[in-house]
Amino acid sequence: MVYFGINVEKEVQNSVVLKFSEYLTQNKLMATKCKSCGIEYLPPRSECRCLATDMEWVEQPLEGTLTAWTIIHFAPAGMEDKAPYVVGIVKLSNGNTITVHLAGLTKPPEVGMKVKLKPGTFDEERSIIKAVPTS
Amino acid sequence: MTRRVAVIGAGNSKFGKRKDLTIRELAHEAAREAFADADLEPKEIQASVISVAGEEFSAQGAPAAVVNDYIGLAEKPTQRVEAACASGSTAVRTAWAMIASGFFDLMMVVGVEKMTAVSTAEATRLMACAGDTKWEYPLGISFPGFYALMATAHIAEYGTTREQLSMVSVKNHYYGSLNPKAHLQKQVTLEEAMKSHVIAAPLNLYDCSLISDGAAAVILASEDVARKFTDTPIWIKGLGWGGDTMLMNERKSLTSLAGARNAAQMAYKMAGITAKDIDVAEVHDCFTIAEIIAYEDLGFAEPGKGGQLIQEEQTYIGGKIPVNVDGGLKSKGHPVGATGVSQAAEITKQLRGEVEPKRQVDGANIGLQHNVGQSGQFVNVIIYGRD
Repeated sequence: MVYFGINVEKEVQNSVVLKFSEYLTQNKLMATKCKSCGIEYLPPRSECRCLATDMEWVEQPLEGTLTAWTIIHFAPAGMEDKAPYVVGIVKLSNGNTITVHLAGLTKPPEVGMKVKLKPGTFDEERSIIKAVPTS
Repeated sequence: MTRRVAVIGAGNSKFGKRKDLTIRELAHEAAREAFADADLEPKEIQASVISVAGEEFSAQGAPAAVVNDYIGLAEKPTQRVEAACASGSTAVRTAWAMIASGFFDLMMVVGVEKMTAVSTAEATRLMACAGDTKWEYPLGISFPGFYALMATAHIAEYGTTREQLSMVSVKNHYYGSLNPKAHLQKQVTLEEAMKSHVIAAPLNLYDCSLISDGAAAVILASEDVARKFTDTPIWIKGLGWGGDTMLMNERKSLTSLAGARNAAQMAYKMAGITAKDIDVAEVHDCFTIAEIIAYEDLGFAEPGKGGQLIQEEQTYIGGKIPVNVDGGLKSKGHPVGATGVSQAAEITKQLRGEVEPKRQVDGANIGLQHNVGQSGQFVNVIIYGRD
């Protein structure tokens, strides 16, 4: 299972990516939280900036607000066949943020738009997370 | 106690699609101009710092060794520096530190990049690899995409307009048309700039800097050595350095670069000046929104008022603060590793009053360069002065 997208080096698909990806297929968006300083990382990290290494997985709310967006028309090599696609940064209801693909848009994206995150399986090989407008 | 350091020679290759040239010939073109400008020979140089951002573009590993030998410095110590699109100014700062500390007296700095040997899609992919390869690159966020995210946030927060973005492009193309070294030497109208095809909405082709081949070189010297070679040394008066989170979603603000604000404050403090004292500036306009954000981060405009500054034409010559009057990355071009050195060379020539008359800022005494790597993870601000 691979977290979204195009050919990335094998080394980036390590355990933290695979675990995050596996949670997505269970319709869960998970961050990691440092047991020492309490900071949450989304996307997750295996180790903390405070240098502690004891982290736990914590489930995230799926509701949020769009804080920035772009529609990629000219894509990097390997993604051309998917363009145009919409990328946005979402601020979740708990204050954490994540960069996602936007789908199900019936009008142009807008900063401030309420969205719901939809973790899931894209095809047999890839898990993804998409944001769709709530109204 | 550090010693004063001056720029005593500057050179710039023609930027553009330099079809039959590799990094060594490009570097030679810039270096020989800098040597002639300083009226000194390679044997007098003690060491060099070479800026190359990505060897993937030119397929030459350890590029500093090739460049150093080719420009007449074989057997002189050298090193490469890399800080993405801020590699060039990082090379200037590295050499400055070695001279200021007393380690060397006379050094060559060369920045070079060969980008047009690969396809535009492949160049876009290589640039996108500077995003986080674990979490951002897999989403297919192109480099323009990162700045487009900042643009939509800036537009939403401050009401910056499509016209204001394009006005930056119109200005930089205008000055590029007056610069014989520029990659593109043609003016564009506001209408053309606004209606060009979309790259990463809201940014279109005319919002994006160019994928270029090119090189630039500056020669730095300690105060006593500088005075032997020139009556018009251009002093490095202040340097600032800033960074930011790797992931864009973790930033506290998407409408400003924290590293740029910090670097600017550090540089102003060291030089003992404020933004109002700057006579001419080179800022990192990799995208039009980046120039507007730079106005604000450098204190040329209040936060959110950058769009208004260009709309009032205050960054043209004759305005409050002329910016990128060589065409900037937008029109002069953006051979990544060369860019920060080219900014230093341009400010040097501006302060000496030696650029083409139509784009010379008359009587400029203090100049500033602002060079940003990736989407703000590396920022250098360097201030130069005539005395």
